[in-house]
Amino acid sequence: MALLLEAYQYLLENQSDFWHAVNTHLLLSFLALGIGVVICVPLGIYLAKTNRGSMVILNAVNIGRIIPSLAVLALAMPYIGVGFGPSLLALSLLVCPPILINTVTAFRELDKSVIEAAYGMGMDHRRVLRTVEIPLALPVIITGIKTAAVEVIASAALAAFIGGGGLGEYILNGIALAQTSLLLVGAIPIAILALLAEVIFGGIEKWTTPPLV
Amino acid sequence: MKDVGGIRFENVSKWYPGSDRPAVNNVNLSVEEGQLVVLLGSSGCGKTTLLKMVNRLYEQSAGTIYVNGKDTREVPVNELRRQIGYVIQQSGLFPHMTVEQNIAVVPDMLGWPKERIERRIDELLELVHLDPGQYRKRYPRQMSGGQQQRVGLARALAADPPFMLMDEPFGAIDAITRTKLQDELVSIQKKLHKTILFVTHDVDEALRLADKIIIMKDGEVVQYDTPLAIIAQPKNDFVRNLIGGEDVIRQISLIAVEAAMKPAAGKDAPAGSRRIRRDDNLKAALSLMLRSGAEKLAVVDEEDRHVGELSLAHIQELLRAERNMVGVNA
Repeated sequence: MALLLEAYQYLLENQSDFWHAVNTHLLLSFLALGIGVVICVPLGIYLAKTNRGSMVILNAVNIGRIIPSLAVLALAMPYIGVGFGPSLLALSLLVCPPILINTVTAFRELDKSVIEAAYGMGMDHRRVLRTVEIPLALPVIITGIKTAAVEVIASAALAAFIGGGGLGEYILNGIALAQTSLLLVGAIPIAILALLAEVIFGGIEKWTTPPLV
Repeated sequence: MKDVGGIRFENVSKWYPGSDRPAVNNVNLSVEEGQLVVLLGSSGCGKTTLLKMVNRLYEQSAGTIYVNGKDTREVPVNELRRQIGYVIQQSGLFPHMTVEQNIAVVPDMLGWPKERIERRIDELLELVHLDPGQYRKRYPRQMSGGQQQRVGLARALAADPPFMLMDEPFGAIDAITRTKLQDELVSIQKKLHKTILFVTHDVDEALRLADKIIIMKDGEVVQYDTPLAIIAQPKNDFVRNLIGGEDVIRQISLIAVEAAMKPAAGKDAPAGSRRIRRDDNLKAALSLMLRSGAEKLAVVDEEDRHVGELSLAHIQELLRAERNMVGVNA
């Protein structure tokens, strides 16, 4: 309890620094998430529709998934340097697997008869994609984005290791100075942000799923 | 030769890659405008392939299909499909759209004004006996299989297409609901006179619904005739077995009273005579004769008007051709 109070005290005394860190943290996370969505959703749709090469890419992505986030950052550093940009790049790579895999799965598992009915009614490819396939695949894609969002918010803490800023800096400093309260100033908001992301995307997911009863 | 109005298959064949025999082999036939024609056969006989070539979900390997007198390959594919209503098993409704949105799909594509679409949705739901107030805003998964199939039918009829393709639409529905839906399809067809191709493997369904039946086996048309002619003169043992061999009682249960009755020529029914509806089946008529001891039944229409009379002799006459066939083969 004393630790929490101490952390709170610190936060009150350094409000502008703190909010700056929160800002950087969210900016990193959501930019990375945005980049991931813009690249992986269309790529996923393409891979789901063309069998050629898609298994190879998917397997590669799956292997990429088991490499720890810290290792991604460490591996990237010698090539892309340090700072906000490299952190963003590394985090963007991190959000890709869940989004890509869920997009491919969602499209592969669409009810074939429904798609056939859509074509049978005289829709062209674009209309089928826009009005039938994407809306039906959306809940599963959102689940992937949710997983990616929670992952990226947690992993953005590691950006501090390569000078990317964000709430991770408090954790890093807290460890370096052996000052647990300082560490909590970073850790607790990160946990709260991750939970919020889970709740918000969970809500979107529910909203995009057609009612069952 | 092109029949204007209907659907005509000319030397139509379909080979699937990697298969050593054609799925559809040199089919030649025409479906007349306004008729409900059933494609009947066991699975793998090519009936669904033949159906799906009409709206070009499958492309034929050889031959030509004419819809409304035009070669289907010369009409833009989506234009072709929008004049052909399409109903499939499990209805194929879009699960993320409400009933009204599902029905509005084709009218929307055709650019109908909003009020016209709204009116059409109510009209169609009433046609398929679903209360618009209760069902318009429902999602497909909130409805039973039978109700979904009604919506599927309404959706296919939305833009009033002259043609309908129905691919085992009632296949996944319980027997009681199925019979009801069949009756309703018949009554809807009596009002709308669409040119319908209907695929099924259910012989009773085929005999109950069809103006004419196409019996298929191994990609070829074995017999194409009216239900009555198929019962009376099955072309070979395959057809005979398919429609139930020598089980006369079962067969007459599938023939409408109308087919055997003698028209009444405006006369009133004799007082006190037993009545039977003209769309009832002959088995029901026979049962009534046996139970009541009446030798003649008065046949009435939907409004209870006297339209004809039916006696045992009339039924025998209808079946004479068939009895001869059985005699030959016994």
